[in-house]
Amino acid sequence: MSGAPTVDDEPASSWIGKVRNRLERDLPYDKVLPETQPAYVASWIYVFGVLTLAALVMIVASGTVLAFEGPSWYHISKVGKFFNSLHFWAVQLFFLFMVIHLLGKFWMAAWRGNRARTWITGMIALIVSIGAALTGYVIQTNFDSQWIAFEAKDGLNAVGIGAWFNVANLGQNLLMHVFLMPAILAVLVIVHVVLVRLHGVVPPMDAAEVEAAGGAVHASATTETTEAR
Amino acid sequence: MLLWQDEAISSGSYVPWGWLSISVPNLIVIIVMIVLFVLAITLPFPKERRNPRRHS
Repeated sequence: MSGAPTVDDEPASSWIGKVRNRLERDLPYDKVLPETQPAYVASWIYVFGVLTLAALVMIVASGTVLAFEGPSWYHISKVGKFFNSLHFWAVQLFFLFMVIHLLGKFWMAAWRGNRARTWITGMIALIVSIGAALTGYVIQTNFDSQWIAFEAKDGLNAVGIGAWFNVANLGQNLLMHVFLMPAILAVLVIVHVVLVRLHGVVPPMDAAEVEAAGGAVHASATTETTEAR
Repeated sequence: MLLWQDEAISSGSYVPWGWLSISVPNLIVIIVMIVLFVLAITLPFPKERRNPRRHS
């Protein structure tokens, strides 16, 4: 697709039309799927966001296999233990990549340039991920899960949510882990990525004036824009 | 008691540091994260290979 799509000049009569006009204006296809990035994106610190996404894909894929086969398979058979470990280690890498992504964005003050919602959705995604990890540890049905559940119980009771979220309730935690938490996280991640596409990747501090001057604002901007600075 | 039971109920190794006590696996992960962060902001990123047919 070449150039921005034409936007209907007539005001939309329904909310669906308003949403369509807004998406056509602010999120054309070349911003959703850009082929080039600003020059400052050529840094290893910008890699950890997509690494986090890749780890999440692996978590969902291995988790789907575990959900279909069940604990009698993944606790006993060799292939089941392999997928169990794949799920576990993908989670470790997910958090490792996410924390480095967070460190990079924090020290870059990534909420600059009208990107507060991108930052906030990322932070909420981190909190939901911690909940997903806790419920995952609790449903292991082994000594570890017993220990973690009864340590977490006191903390959750102390903050007053123990009446609704009971880590000793295996059924509740299982359903939260395999459906509720992944569903919330999926929505948050999609919104987070769409916001990154909408506002562009945050520039380093010393490139902010380039963005303010209208250069390399969007992910579709050519690399020459910032190479000239 | 059987060996595997001993391993299953052991609390693991911890590093005591004043009021702070942290398990060795957690400490290793935190150190790895800091090292990766420092490497990510210091190591040069490979330069883009330009397609000669496209840019000639």
